[in-house]
Amino acid sequence: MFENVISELKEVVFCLRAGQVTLGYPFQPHPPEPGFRGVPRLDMQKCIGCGACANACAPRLITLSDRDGYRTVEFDLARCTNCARCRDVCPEEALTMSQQFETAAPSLRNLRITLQLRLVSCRECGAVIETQRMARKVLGKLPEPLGLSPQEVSWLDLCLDCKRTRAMAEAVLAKEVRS
Amino acid sequence: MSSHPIAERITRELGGKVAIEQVTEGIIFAAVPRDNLVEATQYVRDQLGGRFIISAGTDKRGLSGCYEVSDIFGLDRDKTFLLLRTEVEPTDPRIDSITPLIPGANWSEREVRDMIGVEPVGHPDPRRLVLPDDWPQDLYPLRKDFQYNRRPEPLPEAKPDLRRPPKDSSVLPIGPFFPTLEEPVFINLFVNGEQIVGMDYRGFFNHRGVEKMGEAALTYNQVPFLAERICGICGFVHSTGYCQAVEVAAQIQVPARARYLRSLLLEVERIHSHLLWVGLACHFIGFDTLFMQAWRIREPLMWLTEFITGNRKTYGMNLIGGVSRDLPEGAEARLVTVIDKIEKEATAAVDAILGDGSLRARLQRSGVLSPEQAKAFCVVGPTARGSGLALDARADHPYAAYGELDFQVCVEEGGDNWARTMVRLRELMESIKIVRQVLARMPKGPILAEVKDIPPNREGLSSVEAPRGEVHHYVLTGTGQQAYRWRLRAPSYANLQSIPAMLQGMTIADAPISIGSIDPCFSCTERVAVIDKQSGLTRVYGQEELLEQYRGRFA
Amino acid sequence: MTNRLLNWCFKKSIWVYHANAGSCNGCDIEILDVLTPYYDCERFGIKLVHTPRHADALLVTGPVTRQVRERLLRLYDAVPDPKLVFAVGSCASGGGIWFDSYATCGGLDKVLPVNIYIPGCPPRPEAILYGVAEALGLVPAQVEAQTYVEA
Repeated sequence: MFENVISELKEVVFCLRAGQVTLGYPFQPHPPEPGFRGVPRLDMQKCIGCGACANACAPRLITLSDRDGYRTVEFDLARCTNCARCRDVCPEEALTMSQQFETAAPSLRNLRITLQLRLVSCRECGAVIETQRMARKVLGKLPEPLGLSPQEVSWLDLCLDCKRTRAMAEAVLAKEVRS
Repeated sequence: MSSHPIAERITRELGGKVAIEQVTEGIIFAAVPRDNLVEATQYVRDQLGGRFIISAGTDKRGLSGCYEVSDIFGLDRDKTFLLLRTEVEPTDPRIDSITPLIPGANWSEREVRDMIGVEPVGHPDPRRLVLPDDWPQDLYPLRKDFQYNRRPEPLPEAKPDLRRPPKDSSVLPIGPFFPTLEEPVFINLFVNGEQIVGMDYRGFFNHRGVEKMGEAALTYNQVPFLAERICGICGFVHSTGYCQAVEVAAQIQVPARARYLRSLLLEVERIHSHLLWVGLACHFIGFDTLFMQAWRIREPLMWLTEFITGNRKTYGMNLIGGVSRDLPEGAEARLVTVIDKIEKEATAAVDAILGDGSLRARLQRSGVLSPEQAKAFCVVGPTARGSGLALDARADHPYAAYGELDFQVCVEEGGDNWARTMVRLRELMESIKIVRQVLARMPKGPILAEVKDIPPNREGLSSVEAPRGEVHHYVLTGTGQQAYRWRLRAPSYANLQSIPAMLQGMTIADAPISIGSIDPCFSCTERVAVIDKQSGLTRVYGQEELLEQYRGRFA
Repeated sequence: MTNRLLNWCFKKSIWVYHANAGSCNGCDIEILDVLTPYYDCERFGIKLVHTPRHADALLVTGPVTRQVRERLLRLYDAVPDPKLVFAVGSCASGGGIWFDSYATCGGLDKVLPVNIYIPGCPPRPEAILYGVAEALGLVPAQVEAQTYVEA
């Protein structure tokens, strides 16, 4: 019994020592730690529409679809697990995990990111090649001078299949001319 | 094939009945024909002292033309795992049940039947276990011809198949939604007055289809993020277990710093989980003071993990081959400060409650699990250690950096709720010491190994000691970027099976705390394997096919 | 007029029932955390009750597994009107990683009408407090859709 009383006294002392620790939130802000993985933000100017994030996303909430000359990149952030894989794999560093944690919303429409990027289509068959931003990026990385023949340069706006068809046709023609 | 004294012994003593297929570091793979399964299991249990871990049922009709049931045993004294596989013809999907020999295999066999369709003949309780009550009969999610996102029409008037109470007893239903339950589970207590004379359980409300998704919907590096969400409290344990199983299968060397970082986060998770449990257990018995204080002590650790990993709970650090992020600037100093404070406060709290008479009266001599019962049900973790069994995956099958660290395995005799409480409190202190060791010994260097293609048809096993006990992962690698089979066993899967034995003869008031004392994590238990059976085809894409698909979409 | 009266009633003390519809427990632990000393929701009168009959609001976590669906519907019916339903966490808001799994229903709004979504995996205790405050009209929603069309 005595042991019990001592124990209870110790518990009281323990609680009194702890004191009041309640944070002032929500009357005072309580920001998260730096490096907190909050709601993803997409830099609309940097994204090139490559789809690396869509491949890496575990909840598969990033979709890319092509229509009418535009590629639509959509994020449905309702099921985002804030794992930051999209940010880690993005080659353009267009995605950041913000410090935003007050994500409550009455509608799932608040939690969407939609980006529409212009596409480059094959001048021969009209198939989609890539986004204009991707094309510009690739061209920007090619060495100067290009080291391509004028004919090869003229094929830059053809899709892979049409390029192959042209190349095969040229090769066959060259063979026929030789023979 | 390297030799292993146990493998040699099996060949010597079991003759032609069991064929050793392969011996890799710490794992023996053996095949046993269906007819010899029971005899081989008895041998493993009695002669080798094997501890049953889990059964994995795999649909290998696309590979070998059969179903395969693999029983995984832990040979803990010898730091080895034994995988005993049996092929089952699809035309006759039956296998002899080993539950009469090993009561702890009860759920595993029922799950194999639910998911693959291999019937355990002679099983004492062959009711549906894992799949929802309204799931059609004869539809087996983990077969390769079932699509992971197929949702069949529900069976009308579906009800759980529950046992009738014994004579002279009434039924006290608990759940699925209940004040002391954080997760939905349905327990029928059969009571005679205040005394419990039996119980029945309908769980697996958290079955989400984890295993199926891991092999049908997600790639290797996406699965750790799925694994982390199997359980919100011990998520890092699961993602580590999965990554380690793949790393063992593909023989990937994880850099030393990554292993130490994994150990660090695992111990931090253990500390927060044990403090959480102490709080919850006290909440169950009405001791709200300690509930609030324990969670108050724990909170700075959550802020710390938010600083280190970016999130309080789901660390998102594991990838195949290591970890994706290193400790940020200042993490180590802050870790030391927080750990020191927790140690001081936890010691003071424990000191204050040790003499508390009512707490002792509630916890001592209630929920008793004898060592024999603990062995029979193959329980793990503090549930086993509280009954005198010195089982700890960190010591028995060292992984991450534990092989290089010194720590004690905390064991208590008594087998009651008090013993399990003391085990956890002592482990809490031990974890704090391990964290300090890890910080002192952590080497510098890379944190992620470069992983080329993961070869198909390799098997890997990994045990990780979660706060609740041993988590076990089995991975069979597939072609392309996906596993062929992923089987995981959470500690609560084994521990929950011991509840009826624990509750026998107890009063109703002891039921919540006894169930709570094994620290059940129903989400881990019920992770569910997802099997896509819809199309009947195994959807495994090769690299060429994937590239073609990709080019086809965007070219 | 009834609206204003209801708002006044709710602003005083909202009692909450927490239901786990197949979640991993992460969100549930954060909900319990809101009770603990650092966040202390009880100073606003928000209390966790132990029966749906006493509740004003349901805090639901988890993607609503197939097994739990029917019981969740029964639970919803047991909560007296007027009531609020919160979808706490990414699994409840959109189905999470398992939104298309055979064993789940794909999110809470496929099963119940939802008043406020609180995504996050898990959402911080502060985020849950913010969500409750938002449902009571005390604070505005902070996230907005982002749209951009390249010219």
